[in-house]
Amino acid sequence: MIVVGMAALTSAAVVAQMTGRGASDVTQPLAFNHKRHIEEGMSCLDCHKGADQRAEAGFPPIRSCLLCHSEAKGTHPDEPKIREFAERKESIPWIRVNRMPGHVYFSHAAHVAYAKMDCRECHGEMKDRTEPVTRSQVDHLNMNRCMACHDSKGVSTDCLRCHK
Amino acid sequence: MTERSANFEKPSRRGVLGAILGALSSPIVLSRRLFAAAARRKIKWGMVIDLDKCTGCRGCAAACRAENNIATAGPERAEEGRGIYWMDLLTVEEGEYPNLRSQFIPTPCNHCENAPCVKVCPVGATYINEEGIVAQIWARCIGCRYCTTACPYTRRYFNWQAPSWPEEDRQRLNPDVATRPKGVVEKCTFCHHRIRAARESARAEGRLLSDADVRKLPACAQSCPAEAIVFGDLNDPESEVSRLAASPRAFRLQEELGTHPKVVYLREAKWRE
Repeated sequence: MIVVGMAALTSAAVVAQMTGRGASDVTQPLAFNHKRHIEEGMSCLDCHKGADQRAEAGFPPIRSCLLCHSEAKGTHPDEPKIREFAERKESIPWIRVNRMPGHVYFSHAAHVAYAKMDCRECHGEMKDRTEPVTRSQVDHLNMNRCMACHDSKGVSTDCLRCHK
Repeated sequence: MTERSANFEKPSRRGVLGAILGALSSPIVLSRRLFAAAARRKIKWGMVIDLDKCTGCRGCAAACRAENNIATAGPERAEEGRGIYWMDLLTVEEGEYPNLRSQFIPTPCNHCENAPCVKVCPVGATYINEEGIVAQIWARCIGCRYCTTACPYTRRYFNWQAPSWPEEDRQRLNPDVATRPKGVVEKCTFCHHRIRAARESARAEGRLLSDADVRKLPACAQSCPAEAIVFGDLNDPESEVSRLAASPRAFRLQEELGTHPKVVYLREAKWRE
């Protein structure tokens, strides 16, 4: 019984370490509200421009934010911070909440541009999200989910397709 | 994204015929058909190394180390034969002084079609992938080293120690290639991560991977100043590797073993072993 318990604890610790799950949560420099931006008619690719072109979807450069926020817009206390960063010629130091394990290659372009997948299949309903995503909220993909989708769509499941 | 796809799928006012013709000529549909055609023809990656061109500069070996995050064993460990060289350069001397001649042989994994290493692996950590690459899954390897023994070319290397690099190299590790832990076997992968990247950028341009895209794709081929190393699809009769592999100068190492290497060497007089 004790052995089983210890094994379970160890494996949970390993999983936490590998996926980042359970890692301490982060406070982003700005309380970005996805819902508010999507309601304004913006699409995912407006800011995450790499999603249909490169492996990484990426964060927008601060000049993209300034296209709308160069002057006061709205009443949120964090909103003037954008211009403060810009005045100091700094980019917004967003903290990354998810990182692929070192042996995995994942291409956003392959999934968005070629497989025509909807962002919400992996990222959920960002249109309902009013607070920045924290580490514990990230919906971690595991290989079973990758394989199930690749199998059902007849996509190669060769190891080299996704592993480094 | 939602906006773009909505525009794309908006019903057309053109007639049915017009719609079909339009769809056929649209770049997306056209490229899909091209990809389907390419998928039918199976790729078989191979390499040709022209020994008559090789100057023995070791550029290929150095480029391979940098590209694939190959750990440095250090002088003492290397002396014990524990160094790792995915691409090595063998030097064979012929003749007697003063008529001495050196022959340099760059030696990547041969990616045999009938690979002895694959047959002996008890855990399926090594296999031949759909495009002919003899792949090694580091995480699945149990370190039994049957494969290092089975390989008649000794192109498989065991990690006798945890990987380490000089500090300045550690800063430059390639994020496209995973580092390997102590206790697993590693080997040349034909730079499969570069093939994947090249295929993706070709797709982004709506075209197929061409011979010109891959000819110098692996780090060894790219770095060879003598252009002695050529990479490509051996199943494509038009490719540079196929053309060179058909040369009367072509031979493979230890052909009599029946391993059918996909690395082909060129030399004016056949190598005497």
